[in-house]
Amino acid sequence: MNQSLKVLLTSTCPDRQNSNWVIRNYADQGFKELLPPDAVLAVPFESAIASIRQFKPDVVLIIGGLGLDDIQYQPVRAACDRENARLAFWLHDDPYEFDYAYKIEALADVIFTNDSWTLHHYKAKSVFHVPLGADAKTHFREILPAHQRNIGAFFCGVGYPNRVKILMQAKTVLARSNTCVLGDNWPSTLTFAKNQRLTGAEMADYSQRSMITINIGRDMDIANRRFRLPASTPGPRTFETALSGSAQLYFANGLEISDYLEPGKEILLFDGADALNYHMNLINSNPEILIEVARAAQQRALKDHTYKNRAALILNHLQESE
Amino acid sequence: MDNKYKVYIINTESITSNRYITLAIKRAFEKSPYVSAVTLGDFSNALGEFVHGEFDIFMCIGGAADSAPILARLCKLASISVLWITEDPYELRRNVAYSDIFDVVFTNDKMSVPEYLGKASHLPLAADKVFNFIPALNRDEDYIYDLLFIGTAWPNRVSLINDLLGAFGPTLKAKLALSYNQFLPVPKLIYPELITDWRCSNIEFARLANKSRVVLSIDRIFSASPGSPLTGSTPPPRLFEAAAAGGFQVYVSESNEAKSYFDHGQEFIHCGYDSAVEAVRTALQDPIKRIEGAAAAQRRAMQDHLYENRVEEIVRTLRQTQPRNKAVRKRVSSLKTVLVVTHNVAGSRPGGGVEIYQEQLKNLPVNYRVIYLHPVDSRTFRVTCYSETKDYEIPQASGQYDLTNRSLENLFEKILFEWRVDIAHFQHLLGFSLSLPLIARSCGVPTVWTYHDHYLICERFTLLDYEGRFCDTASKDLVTCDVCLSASNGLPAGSQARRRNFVEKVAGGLDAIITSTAFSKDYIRRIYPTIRDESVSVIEMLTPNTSSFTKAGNNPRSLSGPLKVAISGNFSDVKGAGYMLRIFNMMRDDNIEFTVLGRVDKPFDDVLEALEFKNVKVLGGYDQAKIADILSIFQMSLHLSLWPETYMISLSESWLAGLVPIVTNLGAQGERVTDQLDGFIVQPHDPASVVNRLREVISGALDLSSMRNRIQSKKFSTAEEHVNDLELIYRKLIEKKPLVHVDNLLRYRTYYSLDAFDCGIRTNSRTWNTPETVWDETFSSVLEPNLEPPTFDFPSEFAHLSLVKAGAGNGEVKIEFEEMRCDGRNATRKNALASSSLGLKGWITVSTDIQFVKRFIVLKGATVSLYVPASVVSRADVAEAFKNLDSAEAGFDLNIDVSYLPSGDYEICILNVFNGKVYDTNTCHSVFIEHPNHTDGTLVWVPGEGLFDDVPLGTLPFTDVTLGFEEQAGDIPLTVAPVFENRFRVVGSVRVSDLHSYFLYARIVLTSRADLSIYWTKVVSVGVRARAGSARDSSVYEFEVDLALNPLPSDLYDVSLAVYSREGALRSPLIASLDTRIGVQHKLVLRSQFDEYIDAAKFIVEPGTQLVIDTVAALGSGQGQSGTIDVSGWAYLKGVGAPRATFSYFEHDGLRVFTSGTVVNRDDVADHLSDTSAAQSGFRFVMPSEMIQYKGLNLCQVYDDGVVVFQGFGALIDAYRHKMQAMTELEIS
Repeated sequence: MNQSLKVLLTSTCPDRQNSNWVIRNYADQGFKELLPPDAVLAVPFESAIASIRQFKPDVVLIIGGLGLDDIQYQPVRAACDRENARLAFWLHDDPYEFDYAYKIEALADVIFTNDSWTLHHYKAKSVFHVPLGADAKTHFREILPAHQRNIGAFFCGVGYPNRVKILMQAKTVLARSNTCVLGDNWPSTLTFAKNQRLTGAEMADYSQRSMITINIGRDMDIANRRFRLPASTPGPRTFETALSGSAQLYFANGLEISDYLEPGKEILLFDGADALNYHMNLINSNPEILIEVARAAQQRALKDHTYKNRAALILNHLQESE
Repeated sequence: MDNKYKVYIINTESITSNRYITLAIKRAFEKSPYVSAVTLGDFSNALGEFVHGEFDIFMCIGGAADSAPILARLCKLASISVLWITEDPYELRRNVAYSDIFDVVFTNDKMSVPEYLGKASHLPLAADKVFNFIPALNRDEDYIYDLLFIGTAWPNRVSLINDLLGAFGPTLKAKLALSYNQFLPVPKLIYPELITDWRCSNIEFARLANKSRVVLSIDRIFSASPGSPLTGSTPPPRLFEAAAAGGFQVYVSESNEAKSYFDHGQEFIHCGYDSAVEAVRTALQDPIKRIEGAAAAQRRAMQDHLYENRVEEIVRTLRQTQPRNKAVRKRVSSLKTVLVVTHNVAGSRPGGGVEIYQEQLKNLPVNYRVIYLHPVDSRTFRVTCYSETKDYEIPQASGQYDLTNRSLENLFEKILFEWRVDIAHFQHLLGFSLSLPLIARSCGVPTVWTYHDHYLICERFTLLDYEGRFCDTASKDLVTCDVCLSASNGLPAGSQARRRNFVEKVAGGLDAIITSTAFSKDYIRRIYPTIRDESVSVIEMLTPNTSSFTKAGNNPRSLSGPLKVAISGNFSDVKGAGYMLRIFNMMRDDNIEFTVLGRVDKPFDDVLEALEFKNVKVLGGYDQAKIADILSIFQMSLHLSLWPETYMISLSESWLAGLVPIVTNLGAQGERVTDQLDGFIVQPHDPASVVNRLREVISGALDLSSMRNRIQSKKFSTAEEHVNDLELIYRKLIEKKPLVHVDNLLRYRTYYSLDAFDCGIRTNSRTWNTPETVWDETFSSVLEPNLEPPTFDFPSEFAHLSLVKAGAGNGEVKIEFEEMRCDGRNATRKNALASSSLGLKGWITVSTDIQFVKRFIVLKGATVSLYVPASVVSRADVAEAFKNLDSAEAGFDLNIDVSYLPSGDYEICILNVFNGKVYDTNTCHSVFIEHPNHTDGTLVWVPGEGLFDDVPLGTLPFTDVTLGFEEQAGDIPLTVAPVFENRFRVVGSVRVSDLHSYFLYARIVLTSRADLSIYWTKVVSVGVRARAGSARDSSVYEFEVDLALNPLPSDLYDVSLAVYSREGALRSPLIASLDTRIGVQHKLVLRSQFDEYIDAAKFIVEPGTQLVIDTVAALGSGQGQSGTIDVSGWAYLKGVGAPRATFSYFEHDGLRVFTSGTVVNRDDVADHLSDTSAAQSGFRFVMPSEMIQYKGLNLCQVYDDGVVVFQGFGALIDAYRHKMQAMTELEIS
């Protein structure tokens, strides 16, 4: 790894249009753990061009999705060219917005995608898979013993139809397990769901106090019409929750999860409401199993799935693609 | 290895869930030792990439129908073209139909092979090592699942899965994905707690297969389907993929073909539905055998069933295929068609420089045909070719903020292909969506953009901001644009960025941008740095009529007279009219005279009048050709435009006339003038400087003579020079991007469906003035309501539904076709003949209680059926009439493009989808579809093979059919006459007895005198003839068509006509001869059998005697009939017997041109002359009015005893018309 590299991080759109700008800060932290702190600078998109001129980075890494048509990346490219910097994108909305990838394929020197299956569908040459991760500062929580956990099952996220459907299927099981579902767009028929948004830290607090955190990936596309790509790589909640110290029940729409957390040991898989029921019963019958899973997952996440790990991966790929 | 292939791959589907298959095939080609390069392309620029990359193999994966025209062009460019069909048998019919454009065809389905009549070979899909290979497990305890099934929830599959779940009970660890949509029943499993509605990638499928003890595959089975046969014999790729992943498979299928890929019992278990439970049980109970079987299947898949194996097969075939010669591939037509895309054309709405400029393009060399496309209104677009026009309508109106417009893009593709466009030259996109250049690029048509204003940069194309000042946007950020567009147009922030991002993709793809000066080139490249320097050419704008300026510099001011100042161009806001008013006002009493030459816009006309300037004259518009004369009296000119002009032709004209200009320091005008050397430069918005300059000149403080001398030496690009430069660019582009026209390659016309999405572009919204983002879930409905394309197969989403025929106790059907329109005109059952469009309006009700889902209008032909989704039209009147609320959805009203359907009879029926059934009304109407080729004057002449294949000549009971050429009193004669020098017109009529079928169409037949080869083209009726003094006679069909000669080999041809009905055909005698050999290639000479009569003419009758014109009537008011006249009268020379035939002729360049006429019975003349032979003296001619323009149009009669020429026929007709016109005017007054 090139320790003398200067990296400027920014987002794919101004913070006022960006609900995920905080990922830039997580990545900033990750890079700063690998490079000298003054070699890493994170700035909002609005000030990216001025910062490139002043900071003179070797690499500009733009993080986010490409869903907005009113953002211009050409001026950033031009600024990079002036300073002889490489321009990289770390796209975290694949495959849901993959139809927009054309916007930057000819512009970027390197592209990182959060989704392993989408990776194969890029036309550009230097494209690598880098999943999102967890931020130690924001998401890490001490492992609480079972008796200090006052939530049975927890789920945090938007109520996309596929998620609603699964939770509705397991409604009876969940209703009797002190379940807490938070996020936008949940129907009132799910009595344990509440339309309430959480910050990353608040979500970590909830997970820490939950015996089980349910993990169901998103199946809702914004711009994924061309190839209808199914998402493959687990979302960032997987790593964040692991760091927060909760056992996770992961709906297995594939087995890529096993590349990150070991099923049965570091994460629990489910395929139907009956499996959900079985694991809910563990809350009362054998809670220590769940605590062990939570502990193992946290150790693994700390070791392999923080933004420091992701930053290292990115730096390696950058070197490899030079 | 020598002669390795360079392979270009394209998948025919822009929207597909199976992209991975194409990726795997590409990877397999890369591994082939016979292949040196592989590119996976798409429709954004496949033709450009193919030529640029010098590929030789074109490999097409999918089905060919959707993009047949583009694919045909690629095929023609390739040394060998290959189609690997992956969708058989589901789209079999159209795959077969379009497969003939390829040299080599493979189909994924073995059972479909015979349908290709020997052209196709079987090539099953396969597995991919990267996506699918995972070492097979060797311990039973390492598996996660007992049973895996991933697939669509067809009812037969759900039923079998329930059987399995029931047989094994809840202990079976099943992993199931059963996808379904609104048209499939929701799968109901006996264990509802299983989560089955999820999807996964191909790699994840492999992982799951690897971890499952049994991987289940079940064929899909359909109930009676109204569509194609839908069950194939070859297993889907899942069979190979699961094997490669190390999964042990139980394959449930009625077909045994899978056993030829894997050994039954050893490598998988093949079974029927009845034995599926037992097969799964056997596999689960014997883990050792099962694990061995999985490993064996994996070995087999890796050895025999990877895409590498399939590519080996393809390469083997390629090596046995004779490649097409490179010269043949790049042979292009010598006639080039330039499509000028513009917001306006001369003679339409008031215009300016662009309209003048594009007219000059007609000066291109004779091997260029220039046609124009411009909007008439937001839904109508007009192609103008010479004097002809053709209007096209689109369902989705085009708006000023459109980035994309799918229906307009589809139309543009159609125009590019049907008009055989070689160059798309964009002048402006006002009125169009910004996406059109992307469509041209995708079709392989080179694109040229002439930069007349700054529309590529901003919708406010003069770059004047909301305060009327030059915004200099290249030096500002987009927030400035947001402020301006918000203030001026009320647009939300981000609008300009959305537009610029899109235009950047469009402009970056243009092959050539032409600017008139360096200023524009620099400016646009500052906005769009991705535009390549070499793609922008600076070619000086032409100045029309330069040769008329002969007195430059000879108009000095008289000593005591006023300084005469011309104000050229339109007197408008952007041209600085407001400031000029202030100048006029300041100089009311100066010795100066201003003349406003151009159009005065509102409100300046009123202001000028109100201010009563004594020294300001207003010409208010002038004939551009007379500009030299007009300017000859002036000494100076003002050009105070407030915007950075891109050239300013009026400045050139001023200089050519020797005037000294004052210009604003902006754009091209500021760039072209050097202050105080050849004019004066002032700052915009500074009228005081202009006043000061003019007063200095008036006082003599400033002497203009030296400036005038310099001006005299200036040179300007003439129209010829400019067009020559332009032609050079065209030629280079055509050479760089050779284009093959494919209309003669495609057996079937195609549905034009190309849109910006196919070209690789997706936008948040269709327009740039909204910040809304249209998500996938709402994409189709928001983007284009009710605009699903028709299909040739019954839509597969309904294919599983059962078909209910009318009259089987399923409810009473009531149908009413209220209106039927064929090619835009009303039609009845009797004369339902369409060539381009079929409109149907009416309603249908079914008395059962239905829940309506979808309606299709179906056109069932002999070779193809078309399923057209019909939007529902609310019909409260029908509901009321039948007292049935369900009938409120009864209406339909749609227009069907039938131009791509094969000719023939089509039955019309309606399919209604409801309650899980398809309700078929059976045939309730019919239409005959026949194509007259293009109506653009460039009819495609078809070689004569098969001319009478469909209807044997002379076998019909056609006794009641008469051709106008034959002597039938009262019928309109069939005539042939030149319209332009390279075209001719055939006008005629056919009478058909009511006892027989209606007229279908006619064919103009040319027979070569040299080798008797035949060329023909088709003509359909243009209407039912209304005869003078009578009601419309529905038995007389008339037609009129202009025919171009360009595609015909030079030869002498005999012209005749063949008329077709459903019962047979009849061929006319010789009408005329056509000589295309003579002199210049565009010369047309029509000879006739009468030629010899002229040479043998015995009697020449002087003008004014024995020739009487009774009536001259203009025929028709519709398109194509204007300019045709119907002339009746009589002529007679006593003493040479009775007239037997008549014709007219004139001589042009020493060659005779004929028009045939009809002999009409005139007993009244016989009475008058007391000569029975004069009873045949009447004549009738239908001819183009242009004929009269030729001097020496004579009338000729062939008598029993000699030939008589009556001179002055044309002059007599002309005189008659003038007389009639004068009388009419007299009556009016």
